[in-house]
Amino acid sequence: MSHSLSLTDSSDGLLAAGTGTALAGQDAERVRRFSEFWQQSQRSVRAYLASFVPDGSLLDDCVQEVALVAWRKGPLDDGEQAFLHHALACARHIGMAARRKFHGDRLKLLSPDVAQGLADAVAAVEPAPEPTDRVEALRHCIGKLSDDQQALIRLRYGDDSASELSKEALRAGKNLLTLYKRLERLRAVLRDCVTRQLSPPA
Amino acid sequence: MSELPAHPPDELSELFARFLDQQLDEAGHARLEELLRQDPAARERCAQRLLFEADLKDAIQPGELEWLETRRVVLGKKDGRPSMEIQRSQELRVGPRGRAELAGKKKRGRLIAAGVLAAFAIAAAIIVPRIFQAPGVPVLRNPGFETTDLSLNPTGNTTALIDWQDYFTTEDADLCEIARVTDGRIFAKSGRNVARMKLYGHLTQRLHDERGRPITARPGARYVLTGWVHTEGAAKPLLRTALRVVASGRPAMIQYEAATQRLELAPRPGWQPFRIEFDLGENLEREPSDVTIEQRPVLDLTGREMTLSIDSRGEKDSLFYLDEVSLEVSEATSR
Repeated sequence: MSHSLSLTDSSDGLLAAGTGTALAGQDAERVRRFSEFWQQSQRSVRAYLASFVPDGSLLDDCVQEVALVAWRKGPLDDGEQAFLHHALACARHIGMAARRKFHGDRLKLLSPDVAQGLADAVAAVEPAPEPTDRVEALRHCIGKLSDDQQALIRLRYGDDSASELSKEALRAGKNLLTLYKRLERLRAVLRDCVTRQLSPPA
Repeated sequence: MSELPAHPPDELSELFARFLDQQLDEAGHARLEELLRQDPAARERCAQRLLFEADLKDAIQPGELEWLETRRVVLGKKDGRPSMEIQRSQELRVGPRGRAELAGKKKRGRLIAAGVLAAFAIAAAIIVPRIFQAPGVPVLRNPGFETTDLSLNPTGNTTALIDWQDYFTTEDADLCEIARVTDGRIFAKSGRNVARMKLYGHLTQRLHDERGRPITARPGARYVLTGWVHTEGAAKPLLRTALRVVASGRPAMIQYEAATQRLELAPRPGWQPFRIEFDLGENLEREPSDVTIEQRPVLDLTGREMTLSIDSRGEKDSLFYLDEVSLEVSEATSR
């Protein structure tokens, strides 16, 4: 799913030569800085929001909404920590709003106090110095799984996961609960694999 | 790789995993909440688990940022001097772009194939009559104000009204997702967006036909403007509409009205349809209607490009919403 925010700026009249180039430079720097801060923050933002709304597609929507608000209003001149702090504050509002909208419908959510406690625990975790290393290690570990193991992981973490997993259970003639238990075993294997990958050699 | 993890799962791990997969029953849910409430270490472990889930998502379906900037530059002449108008729009996209683009391309492919087949079937019925159709049938751009997606806009409104701010802009007209800005009291006539017109707000659109050719003033031409309005509050708004020729926007504003109408709107709940007829008449010589210079030169508007103007007048604090605007050639047109 892709979301977009359009900002239209209409300017009439004459424009001095060279001004357009200067504006493009400032915008490019802003985009670069936002991209860098967002790449560093999105892991924490996603985990923080998952405390409030664990569901895949709703969680995706909330993450993207935080990104767009952070683009419009996030501080880009005070460093990564300030940006992350702002993003998590936005995430709290957006997560709580999403809960109010969907609670009692089809989602099983944690009670507000429990969700907030969990979210605070996420916020207290020190951001990983090189988050891309973790993701690359994880991709390497996923690559070591068998084809059907990889397929199961991709079904779970792709779009529309609940529906896709139900279809897979039907196709394979397996109980859905069995599939989820298998998924959990695979996740534990991947966690161990990543820990070994990132641990310094003895 | 073996599916046997190094450490067997404990109660918290199992419960939290089932919660994340939305497979937890009520008893399990209550037990999980009890553990998370009572034990800070449990919260820390589950926080780490959430971060790992985020890594998994990123590994399988990495998020992308796409920045798109477009500039529309119109070079021309005003008062004998070179002029330049620039409109700049910026778009930030967040999410897996490739999937969205691929889906879009597939859909376009199917539509194109269907369109080619349909074209052969209906070509004779369409092409022949069009040879004899009078030129200059206006086609409004963004008539329902849906071009801009405000769903992710934090405030639900913007002063950028695409296609309705030719020549002039104002802070007294904005685009809004009406259900949001009215807290669900009012819904759009269609779609989600409407134009919100405060007193002295205005919309202006250069008129073009379906091929993008300007609509020019012709003696005897008649048009019908229709749409829907929704008033707000007790103050009476007035809809002042016109087909105008903008001789100059800046530095001096000089406009001529080929036809104009005023319509008082009754403050009452619900959407009201409106219908306004413009008759240009046979003589198109006009004095300027809106001008910021002392001279008032008479101008024959025949053959000059027209714009549609929709202005909000009326009582102080009057406000109305506008949706589904349409401009058509009247059947009573003499030529």
